[in-house]
Amino acid sequence: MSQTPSENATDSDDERIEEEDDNESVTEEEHEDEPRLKYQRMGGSVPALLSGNSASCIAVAERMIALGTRAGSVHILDLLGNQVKQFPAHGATVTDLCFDIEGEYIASCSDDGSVVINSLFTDDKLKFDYHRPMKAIALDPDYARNSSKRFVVGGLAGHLYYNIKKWIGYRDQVLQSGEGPIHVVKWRKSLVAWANDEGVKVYDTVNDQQITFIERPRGSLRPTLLFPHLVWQDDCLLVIGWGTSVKIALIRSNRNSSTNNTYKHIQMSSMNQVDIVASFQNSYYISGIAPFGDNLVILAYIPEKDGEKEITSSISSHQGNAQRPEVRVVTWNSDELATDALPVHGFEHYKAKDYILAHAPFTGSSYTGGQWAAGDEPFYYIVSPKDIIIAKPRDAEDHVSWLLQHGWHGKALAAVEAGKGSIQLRDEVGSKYLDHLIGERKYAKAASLCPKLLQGSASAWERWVFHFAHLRQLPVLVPYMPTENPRLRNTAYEVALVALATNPSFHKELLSTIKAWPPLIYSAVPVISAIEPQLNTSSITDALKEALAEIYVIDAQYEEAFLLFADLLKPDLFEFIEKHNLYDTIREKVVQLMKIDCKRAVLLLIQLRESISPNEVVSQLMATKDDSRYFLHQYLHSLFEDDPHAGMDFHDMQVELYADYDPKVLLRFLRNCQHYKLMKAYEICVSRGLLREQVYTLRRMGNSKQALVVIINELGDIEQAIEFVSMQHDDELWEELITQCINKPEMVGVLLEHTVGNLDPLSIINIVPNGLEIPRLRDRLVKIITDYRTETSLRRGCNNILKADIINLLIKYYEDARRAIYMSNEEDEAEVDDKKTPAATSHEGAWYYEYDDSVPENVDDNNIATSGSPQMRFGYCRRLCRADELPLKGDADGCYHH
Amino acid sequence: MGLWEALLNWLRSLFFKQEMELSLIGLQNAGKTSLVNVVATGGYSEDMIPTVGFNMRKVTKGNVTIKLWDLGGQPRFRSMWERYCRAVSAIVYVVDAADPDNLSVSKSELHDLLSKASLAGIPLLVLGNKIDKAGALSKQALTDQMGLKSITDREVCCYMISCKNSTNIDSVIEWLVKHSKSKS
Repeated sequence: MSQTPSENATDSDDERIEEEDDNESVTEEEHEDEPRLKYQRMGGSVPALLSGNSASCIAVAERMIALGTRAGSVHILDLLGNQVKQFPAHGATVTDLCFDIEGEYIASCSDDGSVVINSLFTDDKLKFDYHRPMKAIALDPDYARNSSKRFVVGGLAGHLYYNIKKWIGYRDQVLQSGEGPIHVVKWRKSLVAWANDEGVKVYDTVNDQQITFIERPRGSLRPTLLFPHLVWQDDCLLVIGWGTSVKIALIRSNRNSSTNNTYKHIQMSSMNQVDIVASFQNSYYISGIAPFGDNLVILAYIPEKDGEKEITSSISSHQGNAQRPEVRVVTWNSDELATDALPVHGFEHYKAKDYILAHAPFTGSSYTGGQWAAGDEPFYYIVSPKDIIIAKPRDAEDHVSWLLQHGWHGKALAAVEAGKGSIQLRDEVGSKYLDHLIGERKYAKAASLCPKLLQGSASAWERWVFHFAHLRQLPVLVPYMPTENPRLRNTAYEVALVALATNPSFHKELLSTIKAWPPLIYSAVPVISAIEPQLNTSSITDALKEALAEIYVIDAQYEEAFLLFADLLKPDLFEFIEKHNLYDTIREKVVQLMKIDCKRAVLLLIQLRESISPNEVVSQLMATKDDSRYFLHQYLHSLFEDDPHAGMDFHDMQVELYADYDPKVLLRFLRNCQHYKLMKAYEICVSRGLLREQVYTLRRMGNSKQALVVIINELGDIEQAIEFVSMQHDDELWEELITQCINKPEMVGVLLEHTVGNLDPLSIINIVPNGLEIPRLRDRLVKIITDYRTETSLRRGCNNILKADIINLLIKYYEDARRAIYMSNEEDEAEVDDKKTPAATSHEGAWYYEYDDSVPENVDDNNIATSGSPQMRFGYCRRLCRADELPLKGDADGCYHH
Repeated sequence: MGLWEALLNWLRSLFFKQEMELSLIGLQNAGKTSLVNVVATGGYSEDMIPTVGFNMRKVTKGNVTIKLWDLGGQPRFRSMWERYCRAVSAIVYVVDAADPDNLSVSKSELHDLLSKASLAGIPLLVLGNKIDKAGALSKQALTDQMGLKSITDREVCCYMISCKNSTNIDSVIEWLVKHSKSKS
């Protein structure tokens, strides 16, 4: 029956060329490629079904599977393997099954020679008996619609029957016979392809015409060992897998053009219509073949490593040593894309022909293209006698889980995000990735990915927060923790904060976290109680203090917060005090407040003088070592400005402070303050070289002479000296002044200018030693003389005025004394007052005014000759009058008496 | 007369033959298989065994041949629904209107299924079954609770039926016939 490879007829040229291209000896390296298929053992009723029975064949329709058994029964299963129907169709092994394309009928043939066609929707059943074992059957794809109810069946007898329903009944037509057993028949559209020992033939049922013959590949095994496999990939592509070789034949149908042609012509042309578009050899046996998009899926049976001659014997003798069948994805150029060994139950005992590979027909729109639409992938069924394995192309989720398995979590994540995978998958990827990162101790990376991975799942966040906490790595996660959408439980945040607090290197983070997180999401108390014990230990940091302070604020413990803020010298502390009305608390932190903002602190302390006594402030400021003297100065200065008597205990100190920090103000202070010790102040001034202050203190001490010496010698300011001396009204001083000045020509000059009214210039001039050059002496003498004249004339005028006044007043007194005076009550007196009637008894002031006003008129004429401006004269005149004021008023009566 | 009508029907079925494929889904015990029986034969039985896998039936109503895939409603079968709903003329989703406890599951299963890209645009017929029972929901309540208003990418229709009393079965058949495809 079988033929050896050498007996094969010659191949066409096409085939040769293509076979040369095949270099199947090059096996690709086993690198980590992602598998193309995923596998799943069929469940449902299958395990139970096959436990007492063996699968012998399978057919797959769009929505169901037919499984034939060695016992002769046909089972209809759903896609998951649940049995839907069962037909006890045959008495021996079911050898082949075939659905029509609608999935309404199932045809089966058996070794007992019977062919049964069952309707799935009705109870119809057809049975034919061919008496010899039947090995292959194909239903007309259009069986359900076509009234001729055709099918093709063949078997060991070597006849291929073509059964058609005619008017009379069912008629068999023999398409072929005498070329050995028929192994496989496949029907697609109008084309029927079958294989016998010689090769593959294709028959067109429209023309009732055999259109091609493809020879059996050279070198293939005896067909009893390995059946040929035929698969229509689409309407014109026939895939042939036979032994170790694969061929793909493209059958071009030009039926339309050939309808009117002669029989011979058709035969000629149709022979030329077949192209072998791909052909290659494999190192393994093909137990099944199916299209996989533009590639092929091959169920590979790996033979023993023995030479080809021994294969037959080895397989039969070493039945227990067979290898696992492999599913290989192969391109048309025999490049292997993927290889998966399947752990089929009992594989050790199976031969190549015990396996079957079936695939689901492509559904819907993708039916013709051979390619599948998204979500419409083909299913492959790998059947062994006791097992059915479903293989599916891997989808996005499989891709992701494969990436995960191989540790490419990043890629998996990217794939999930790109594919917008289901939430469960994304969560799974996320947690796997995190687990992985944590396992590798890449905590920071893990934490940074958390927002992306955990997204809005509060429970996941909490789980990871506690997980990180458990690993003592929570601080790295904290910056990523969400506070809103989702908001976690309080505890999560508290745990996070405590974790930050316990590690000094994260105190800055703690602070920023506390500032960033809305206070509502956690309760402050646990955090405070965690931080407080650290306050007095070495692990305290400024950041921790500030953090604690912030938490105190959150917990409304403003005073505690204030104390910490003060220690930290927070610049906005004053606003804080103001906002929370913490005026009572600040007494303890005067120094800190000063350090933050001296001016504001002083202002504040002055305001709060009532509650915080200067003593307290000063003692605190004194207690600190550095800088506090300046603060003390500022404070005392302001205090003094505000109330000169408030800080009287410290005025001594203050003198020194002024001398150090603000010498300009010292003089004013010395003048306005009465509580300092003069001697001490003087010493300070001397030691600091503060002359004016020395002068002032000396004067205050009554040591005018010393003061004058200081003015003249140290200050060199004769004008001040003169002023000083004139204020003292002390002739001795004048003499002192003159003696001090006498050796300094410039001073003598100035002295001369200012003598008028105070001193007799002559006395100075007399003292001036001979030969002393006094600058601008002439001008000064002229001035002295003119001044002197002016003074003289003024005095004369004043005397005149006085006389006239005395006369007038005397006359007035006389007039008043001559008649009686009406003594009015007080109201009348006021009236009188308004009318400015001079009343000698009660209104000296008014009297005086009148007198005052009258002076210029009286004096004017007399003084026309004198030089100088009118104002000066007037002022001078008034000074004269004032100088005489007291005796004038006091002696009004006296004058009169006089 | 009867003969004449039969002949006319036969002629009509010859020339205007239409067919459609339906998948019946819904939670277990919603009454899918009962509905198939009522539509196919008019018979109703209280004692039904749960469907394993699916039941396949072909029903001819007038000139329309309806191929029915009555799918198992138990959780283990639900993953198959999508595969069996592909390329059908309409999806019939049966809900037990007298079982408010399972409505939310029913709703989520329905919406899960309809979110599949392969089922886009396939008309949906939601049937609230068992309105003969006390406490059955009204049509409005069912529409609300099933979230049918939110389904906008396809034709959605809802009927309240009782397989037991054959209530509204005619409307269902009418709707189905209207959605059949003429034979190519």
